[in-house]
Formats: sequence, C-alpha cells, structure tokens
Amino acid sequence: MTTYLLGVLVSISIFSFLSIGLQLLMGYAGLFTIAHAAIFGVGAYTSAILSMQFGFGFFPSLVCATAAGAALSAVVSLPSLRVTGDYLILVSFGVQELLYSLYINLDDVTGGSGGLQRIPRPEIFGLSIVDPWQYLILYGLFLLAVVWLLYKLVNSPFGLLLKAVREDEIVLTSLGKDVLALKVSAFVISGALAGMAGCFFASYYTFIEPGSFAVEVSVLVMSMVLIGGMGTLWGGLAGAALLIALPEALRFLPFSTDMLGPLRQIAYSALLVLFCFVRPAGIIREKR
Amino acid sequence: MTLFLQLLVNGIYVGSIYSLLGLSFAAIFSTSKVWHFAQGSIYSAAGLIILLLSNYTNIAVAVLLCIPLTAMAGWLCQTALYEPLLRRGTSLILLVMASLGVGGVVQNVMALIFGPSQQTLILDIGGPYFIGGVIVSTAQIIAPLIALVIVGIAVYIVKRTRSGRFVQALIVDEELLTLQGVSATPIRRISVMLGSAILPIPAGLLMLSGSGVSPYSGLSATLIGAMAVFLGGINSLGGAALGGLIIGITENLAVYFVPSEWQTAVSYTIFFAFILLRPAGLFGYRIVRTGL
Repeated sequence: MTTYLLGVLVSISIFSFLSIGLQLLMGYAGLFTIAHAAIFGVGAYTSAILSMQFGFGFFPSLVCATAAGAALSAVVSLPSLRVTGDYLILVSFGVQELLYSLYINLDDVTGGSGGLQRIPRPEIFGLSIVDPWQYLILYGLFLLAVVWLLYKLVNSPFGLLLKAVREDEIVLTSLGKDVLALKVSAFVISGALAGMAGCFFASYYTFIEPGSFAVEVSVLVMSMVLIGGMGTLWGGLAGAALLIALPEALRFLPFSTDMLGPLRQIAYSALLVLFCFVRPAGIIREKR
Repeated sequence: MTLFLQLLVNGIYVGSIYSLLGLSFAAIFSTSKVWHFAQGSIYSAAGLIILLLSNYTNIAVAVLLCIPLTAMAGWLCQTALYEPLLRRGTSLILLVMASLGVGGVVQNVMALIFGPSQQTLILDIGGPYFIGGVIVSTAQIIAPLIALVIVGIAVYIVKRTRSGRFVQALIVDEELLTLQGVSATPIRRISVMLGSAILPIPAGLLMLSGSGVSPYSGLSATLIGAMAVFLGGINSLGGAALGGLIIGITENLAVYFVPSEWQTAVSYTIFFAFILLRPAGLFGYRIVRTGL
C-alpha cells in the first residue's frame, strides 16, 4: 500500500511540472494552448530514445528533453506573433494532432502505437534510482528547485508583465513593452518544463506510448491549472495533486476495470465544467 | 496517372465529408464566436447512434432520426452552457475549457456505452464501379452529391433569404444588429442548432465507406472543421465548405508524394503555411478579436 501511495505522489510530482508550466502560460500570460501534451511527449521520446539508442545518461537526456520541449514550444508560439488568440487555439490544436500522429506513425523512431519499452532508470553518480521513494526524492528536489526559481520569476517585473499580457496587450504595446518577446519567453519556459516532465515520466514508468501524450492529457493539465487556481503557482501544484489523487479513489469502488478509464475521464471533465460554473477562479485564488 | 486519379477520387470523397464538417463548424463559430469543441463529440456520438440504429433500419433513416438529436444537443450546448457562462462574464479561455469538458463527458459516456474501440458498419450498397481505370465506390459517388446539395441549400438560405440576411448581419457585426432592435440570441441559437443538425450526415457518409467511428474520433473532426473554416474564410459558410474540400483533396494527394505516415503532417504544414501568409482565409476578411 505504501508503494502504491508513493507511486501516486511521484505521479503528482511529474504532473506538477506540467501544470506549473501551463500555469505560467495560461494562468499568468493568458495564452491558450492545447499542445502541452505533445510537448510533454517530445520530452519523453527524446530522453527515451537518447538513453536507449545512444546511451545518454540521465542528466544529459534530461537537458536534451528540456531543450527539445522549449524549442517545440517556441515553434507553437509563432502564430501569436502575427494574429489573434483564435489562431493560437487552432495552431496549438494542429500541432498537438500532428505530433500525436507522428508518435503513432513513425514506427522506427517512436515504436508506433506499441511505444518504447525498457527505458533505463536513472543512475545518479553511481546510485540507481529504482524504488518509488527514491524517485520521489529525486523529482521532489527538482520540483523544489523549479518552484523556487519560478517563484522568483513571477514575483519579478517579468511576472507582472506576463499578467499584463493577459489583461490588456494593447496597453503594454503602447507603453513600449516588447509583447512578442514576453509571449515567446512564456512559451519557451513552459515548454522547457513540459520537456523535463517528459524525461521524468519516461524514466519512472520505463514505458511510453502515444496515448499518454494525446489531446486528452492536454485537457487534463488544463483542468489542473483551472481547478487548482489560475494565476498562482500553488494553484498549479494543488490542481495536480487533486486531479491525480481524486480519481485514484475510483479504483477502490466496485467498477470493472474497463470502465475505469472512461469513468476517470468523466470525473475529470465533469469537475472541469463544474468549476467553470461554480468557481472559475479555481481553488487557490490569485492575489490581486 | 491512374494512381493520381484514384487519390483524387478519394480526396473528393473525404473532402465532401470535411466540407460538411467545415460548414457545421462555420455555422456555429461565425455566429457564436465560441470554440465549440463539444461539436466533435456530438459528431462521433451521432456516428455511434447511427451504427446502433442501423441494426433496425436502413442507414438513410438512421441518419434522419439522428438529425433532431444532434440539433437538440447543439441547442442545449448553446443555451445551457455557453450563454449562462457568457452572462457571468467568463473569459473565452474558460469557455473553451467548459466546451472541452462537456465534450469529454459526452465522448466518455459514449465509450462506456459503446466501448472505446472503433466500430464499423458493414453495408452492401452496390459494388465499386470502374470508370476510366479508376475504382469508384458507391459511397464515393454519393458523398460529393449530398455534400453539394447541403452546402448549396445552406449558402442559398444565407445569401438569398430574409432570415439568411439576419445571420449574415450577426456574423459581421452583432452590435450593429442589436442596435437595429433585432435580438441576436434566437438567430444565434438557431444557427448553432442547424450547424449541429448537419452532423449526422458526414457521420453517415463516413460510415458508408466502411470507415470506423470511435467515441474518441470527435476532436480530430472538430480540428478539421476549424481548419476548413480558417482556410476558407472565417465569415463565409461557402468558403468553409470549399476549405474542407481542399483539405480532403490535399490530404489524399499528399500520399502521391510522401509516404503515408507523413500524410497528416504534410497537409497540416501546408495549411499552417497558408494561414501565416493569408490569415483571413480564401474568402474571409480580417477578424477583429484582439485578445483571448
């Protein structure tokens, strides 16, 4: 039972990276993207392939996964350079579907629908990370570092400017601020975090397949951001914790296993709609 | 050459389905300005219900029976979901998420009822025909004809009737319309309802060819509908239909040049390149929304 609970905590820590990254993009800067799962996937596949085919160690593949995520995210942000938010929705949606189709179809690279198995577990300075509590400590340390860095970032003028992008872009431009650079940096940072999360995901589960990076996962992370609280870092963490832990409770109810998957999704989606109506600000309110 | 023509024929077939998806999304998006992601789930639900009904009656009747169901679903989404949220001043990001949430509930309820995998319909509607060395199935003949009729009716209604003029006015400038004393809400609701009512038709046409439908095929359908709209021009119903046709043809002709794994990637990339160069689409004009 403890192993199971520790596993849930590891899962929460992985998704925390995803949700904090998306929080920066959607909660702070107000930029919509449904491609987060695809970028998560790029990080996962990059680190998996590098460690399996090229023998990269944990840290090098982590760095590459982060870079890949950041780069892809920058590409998604390109449309926001010229036109309105509607195009961002469309292009991010398109990128998500495109990457998902590549994950499924490029059998030689990504293993196709079967995915990649036996991804090596991390080895840090000779220490093998095998048990959930070891993963929890490793990922927990990274999470702490990331949260600390982001906390400094969002409480700096940069964070204020990001919020300003959400509130009124035109005013910002009239004040002479570079809105373009702000948007692209928000995308790059959130993409880097998603890439990191991908590497952590691949190293923990040692098996990845395209289904983990489908559009439903993007919606899940968005729900975490919304329900946890838009515009706050703690909201990102709370959302991840809530949306991973709560449906785990479904396991203990008397439902057959093939009903569990759809039931979980119904729980997530219904919760999302409920929050849109009842408490759009999310659980942890933003300080104004 | 024969391969090229064969791909073209299939492209026209797929394009007809896409053009109807585009028409549907255009009717909803241009009038309500909401990203109705739940439309895809309604589409796949329609497909599954048609499948179910086909056990009792022929496919044409099944499609007709489904039409009021999807129309009602669209109406409900607009009236019970988007309008109340808009009244509370919800931001557009939240509207999109609510739409995704509803879509998620619908598609997973369908998964519980029908099972998560793809299901196909085995139909005998007359064998394939050989025309000029190219194999053309009955579905590939029927689909473009039906699509043409539906799009024709839609464009006629919007351009030539009095009610259509109200729809055009709503699409172009809602504020001006309300200033004239005309209530936008009923026009919008009816447009959304009609846009959703079309959905069983492409679902049925898709299944005629033996292609499968799964509860999860909805979101991709919405994406194609949206791409068709942005390609053809955001404020133009006919343009959206044309956009759908173009996407279908491009997607299939791409196989002539690249291996089929890259098919989706190529057609999406062409689309994005086009959009960056001409954001308003073929027949549209600039959209005015500045923030999201």
